[in-house]
Amino acid sequence: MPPFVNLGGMLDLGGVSPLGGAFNPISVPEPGKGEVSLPDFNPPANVAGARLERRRRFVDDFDGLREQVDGSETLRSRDATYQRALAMLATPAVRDAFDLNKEPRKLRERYGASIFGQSCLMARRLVEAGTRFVQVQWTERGGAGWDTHGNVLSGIFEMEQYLCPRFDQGLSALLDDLSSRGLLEKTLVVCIAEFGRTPRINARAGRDHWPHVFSGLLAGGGVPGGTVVGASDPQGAYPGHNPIEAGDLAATLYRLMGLNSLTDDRLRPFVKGNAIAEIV
Amino acid sequence: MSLLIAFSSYRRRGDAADIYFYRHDGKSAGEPVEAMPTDSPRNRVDYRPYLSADGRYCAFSWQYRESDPGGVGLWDRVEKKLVTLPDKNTTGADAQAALSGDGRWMVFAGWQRPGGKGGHDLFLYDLKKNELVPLPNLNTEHDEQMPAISGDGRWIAYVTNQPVESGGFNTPSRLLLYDREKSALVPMPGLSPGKCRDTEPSFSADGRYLAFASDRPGPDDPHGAGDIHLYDLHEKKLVPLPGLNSAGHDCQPAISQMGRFIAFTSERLDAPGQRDIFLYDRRESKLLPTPHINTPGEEFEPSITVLDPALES
Repeated sequence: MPPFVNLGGMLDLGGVSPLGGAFNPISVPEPGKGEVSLPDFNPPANVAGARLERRRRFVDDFDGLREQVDGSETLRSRDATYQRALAMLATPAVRDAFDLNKEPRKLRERYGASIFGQSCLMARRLVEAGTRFVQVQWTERGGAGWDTHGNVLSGIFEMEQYLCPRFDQGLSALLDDLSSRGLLEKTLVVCIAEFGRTPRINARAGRDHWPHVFSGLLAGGGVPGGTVVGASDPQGAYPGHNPIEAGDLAATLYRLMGLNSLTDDRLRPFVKGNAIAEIV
Repeated sequence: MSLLIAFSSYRRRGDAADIYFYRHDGKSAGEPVEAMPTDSPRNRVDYRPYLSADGRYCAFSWQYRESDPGGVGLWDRVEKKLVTLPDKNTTGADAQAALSGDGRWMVFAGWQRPGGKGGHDLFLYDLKKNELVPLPNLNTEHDEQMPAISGDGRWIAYVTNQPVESGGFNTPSRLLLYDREKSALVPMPGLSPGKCRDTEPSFSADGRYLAFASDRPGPDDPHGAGDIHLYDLHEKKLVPLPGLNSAGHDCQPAISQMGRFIAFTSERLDAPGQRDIFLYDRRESKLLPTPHINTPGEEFEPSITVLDPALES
């Protein structure tokens, strides 16, 4: 199984930049609408079996030549990613994991027909099949999603009517499903954004960017359910008590995965913070 | 073709909605007829259409991205031009316009609009006299929004987050009914508010039926995804809608003049977009085919009017 899969589209933030492009995820922008197709993985109908292997050798030769000419990190990264994707083509178990048609319709409906809901379902399938890290990105075909400035549709209106109900449906289905399969105990579910929204509603009935305080949600993976850590001030503008920094959250996530970011040499350069005592 | 449906869609611009019109025969045939032209150089976003009974006028909400608060407009489908609305728009963000069936009254929600009581408030515009008309005793310091108006302009149904009891906090949205003749709210027995969210009302022009979306748990959906419900104001009770709702989110109902047809938005696995439009026939208790209306580009916020009265006689 691919170790890292992104569902719903990538944030345009450079992927896993410090580690190099070869560590970027396999990305499936829109899981599961009717007949699922995976254009990045499905070989054309006339390319199968031995022919696929011939194509792989051809690509090897071609890219090898280019690499001699270029020698760039970009090409090496692309080469590794391409090889990985190509190798997966030949693995039925992998293709099955990405195929939502193998789920009962009732369960697919339970997650919701939204891109987010079906992404959550595919995330469960991937985790069940052995993928270690799945990222679900909220995606909109139109509109602004959770970027509720109110400058396309009225932000608060959009949040109440559209965003929250779909998030609630998809996430609750995911947690229920993981739990009923005995997967929740060993699967850490993290819901987080890169910043919050202004405590005041703007002139367009929306809320703008606000990095000073916002909420995150953790479930499963050893997290004690029902725990509330920290609080905002009464206006929802700044931390009221027990502020948690981004580095603290990262340290907590690693600790829940069995890694101590204070002592692990692989993590120390990147993770600056302390694991949250109430959680670990 | 006897039915006209207006709706929003991202199908043309991808990240911005436009308004489209679609005709249907009330049985199984239908075809797109036109799109409302937008102000392309300024990249205006148009959404939430609302048709007059004769299908000539279409009220809508608009917004220029990344700039002003937005407002409501009125499109004349015959003259193919925007209708001037003197003294209507202000610096407040206006949206969610609804038309009375006769096309005289336009009710809309304004955010922090001068003359309001705070948050979202409702305002009524007389399209014949080109002036705002007071709505005594309606607005509060809480939010009033998503208005629907009966065909004769007398009744206004809307959504509020007013606490059921004083001192309440975070009250789920609920529906209220306002009588313009008496300038007072009218009880709707059998629609008791609970922990559910009732939203997006739509009036039949005869003032009898009120369709709305709610996350009330029901047989179609034990998990609280939105469903469409119908309230009979004469019988003062909820009316079943067999075959309409799905396990997904069903929302944004628009009911025809006499209540036979309900167009609505739904998220279903076997439809082409994330959100698509469906048409329900109450007389037949079934969904009607709507060929060529839905695309992967999403269709939502339908408004409906019956152009051939024989269909509802």
